[in-house]
Amino acid sequence: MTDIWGLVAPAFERSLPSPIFYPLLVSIGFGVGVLTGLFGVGGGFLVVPLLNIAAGVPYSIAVGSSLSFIIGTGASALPGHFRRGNVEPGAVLYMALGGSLGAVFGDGLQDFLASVSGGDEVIFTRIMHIFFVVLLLVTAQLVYRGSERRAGTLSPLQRLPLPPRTNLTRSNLARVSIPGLAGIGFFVGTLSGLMGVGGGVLFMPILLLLVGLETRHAVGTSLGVVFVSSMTGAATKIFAAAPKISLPVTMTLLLGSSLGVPLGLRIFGILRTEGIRKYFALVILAAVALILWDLFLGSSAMVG
Amino acid sequence: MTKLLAFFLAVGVPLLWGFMAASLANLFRKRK
Repeated sequence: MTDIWGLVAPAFERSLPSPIFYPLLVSIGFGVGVLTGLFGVGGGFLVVPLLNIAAGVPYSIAVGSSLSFIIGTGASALPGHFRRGNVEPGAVLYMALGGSLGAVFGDGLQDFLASVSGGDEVIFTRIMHIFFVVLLLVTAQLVYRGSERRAGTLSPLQRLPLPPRTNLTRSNLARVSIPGLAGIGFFVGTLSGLMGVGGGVLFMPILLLLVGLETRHAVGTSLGVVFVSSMTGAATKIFAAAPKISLPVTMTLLLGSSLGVPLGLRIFGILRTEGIRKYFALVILAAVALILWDLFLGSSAMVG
Repeated sequence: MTKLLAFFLAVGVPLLWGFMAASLANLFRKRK
């Protein structure tokens, strides 16, 4: 009998002595779930560095498990968005095609970075930390600034001189460039394959500003695209020579997140503040501070 | 074959969990 369990629970975990490992993962999932309920974001960009820094999960497995986690959170949120007509099928189709290619490319890029590190986990961790700091700073800036497109103007993807074109009927957007949609998908897919992020927060402004979708369509569409590219990413990571997904990690995170989301929604219901998203930028900056701390003073410190 | 099974586990189990969570949330909402 071949070891199927070994393929979905890589060896690092079975040798972990810490009894607080799984409770820690539940709390990470819970915290991210509260943020999901409160701010309406997936939180993959917080899960991966937290898994690495707080729980000691190697980045490659943290990224794979995060993709598997996103499949779970996506599956719980997508049916509702479908019912409410928030998913723009044409945009999902072309962006998911690009996104799937990007997820495979991102995984290859991660392997490349690992080989550049010469198999040294500490150097690889430092490189990934730096990638996350850049991504989080860009995200914090986008969240803080907000992104609303001026109504009545053509979106950049409608003006892009790259045929063939498609009509996004639900959003009333005519003649949107298909290669443009696929290109955006590829970019977001690359981030998910490389860093395990759903890209919700980064993807939203892109959909609003570049594609020209309305907020409610942008939410549903980004979920749809991220869902499909996460599946491709997960497939790539499971079929890799050394599997990079830990199902126990994924499921513990999902358990915590399922408990956290209702609390986040309740807090949101109590606060009912319009400018709540600005506080989200502070949460992201706290994550940046944690990564920088680990980079310079923690286990993967660059000094000393 | 084993990899295929591993793939179905790594994708299918979170997928089922997500759908289950969504229907439970729906059920609670309807009861309220």
